[in-house]
Amino acid sequence: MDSGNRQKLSLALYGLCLLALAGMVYLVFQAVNTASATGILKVSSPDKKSSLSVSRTDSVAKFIGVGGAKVRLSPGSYLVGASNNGRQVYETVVIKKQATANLSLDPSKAVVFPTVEAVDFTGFDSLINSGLTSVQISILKSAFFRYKPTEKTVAIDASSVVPGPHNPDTDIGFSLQFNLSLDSRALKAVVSYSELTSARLQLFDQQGSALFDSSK
Amino acid sequence: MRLNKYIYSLGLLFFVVVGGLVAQYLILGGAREVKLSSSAPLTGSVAQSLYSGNGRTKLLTPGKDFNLKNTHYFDNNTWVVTTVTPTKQQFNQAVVVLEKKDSAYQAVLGPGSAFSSSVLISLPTDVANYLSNLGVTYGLGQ
Repeated sequence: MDSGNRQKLSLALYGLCLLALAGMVYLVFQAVNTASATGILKVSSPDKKSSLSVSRTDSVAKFIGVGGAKVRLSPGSYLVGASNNGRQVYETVVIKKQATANLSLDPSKAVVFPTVEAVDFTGFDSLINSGLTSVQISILKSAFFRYKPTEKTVAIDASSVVPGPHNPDTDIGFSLQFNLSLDSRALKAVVSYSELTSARLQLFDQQGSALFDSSK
Repeated sequence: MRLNKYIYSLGLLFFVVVGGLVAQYLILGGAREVKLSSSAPLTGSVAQSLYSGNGRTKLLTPGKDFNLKNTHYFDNNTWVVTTVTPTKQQFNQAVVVLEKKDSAYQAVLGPGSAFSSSVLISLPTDVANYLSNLGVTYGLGQ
């Protein structure tokens, strides 16, 4: 290599160094700017497989990590979500400049809308054996759900099911009386019906005080 | 001698680049910046509700993957019912119910095409009636 080429190579190397230096100064300057204009969102989850995302009103949503994430966001209110196995949980967080917001989200603790299908009903066969139709049973289940939408179990004591008083000369309807436990709370119930596609449920506490009437 | 000069230059270059990156990492506190581009109202929350995770690192993009139609606001904009329509055939058309909590809308029901009538008990009457009229509920429920 002659001296001219060597000089060119040296110049190119120094030029490259200066360029890199300028680039890095710019990068650091940008980082300082970003750090002063944004805040940190730190999200953790006991479910290490939960996928985390963030969105805000009038913006798209973005994936930010799995199991945990640490990101910088411009100040404002954000909706942070965690998803896994079809369960989702959300929380709103406010990001402030140069501050860190910590959040923990567990998809397994997602609040699911209560439905009548999610309630465990047991002992209802005894009502069918006593003359109720499956349509009436569905109406009763819905009535129990209406009384307490957050109920988990409704268990009828099959041995307690007895027909209510009935005078064939004056009564057009029938009734059944029984004991049950609703989420382990002992209650008494009366089901009244005069046709095969309707039923009225009345619930009483152990002292006989009325708690619920599905006809109201 | 000259070879040393070149090695020195390359070392300096390496030092500058690595030093710059380390400085950037330290200044940002190890957190990368996330920028959310603007989009139509509710689309971000709906995209999150459509997101199942399962290893996917990209959420559906409004306009490209889905659109919202028949968006109805209830109770002073506290509740919203909207229909998600896919732009292709990625998923079926679905209904989402969103509730405004702490100034942000979040999906509380759906996305789905049919809901148990019993969920209507937990919703405001006007929202429940609207869902019933949409024909997306089943069972005796209420």
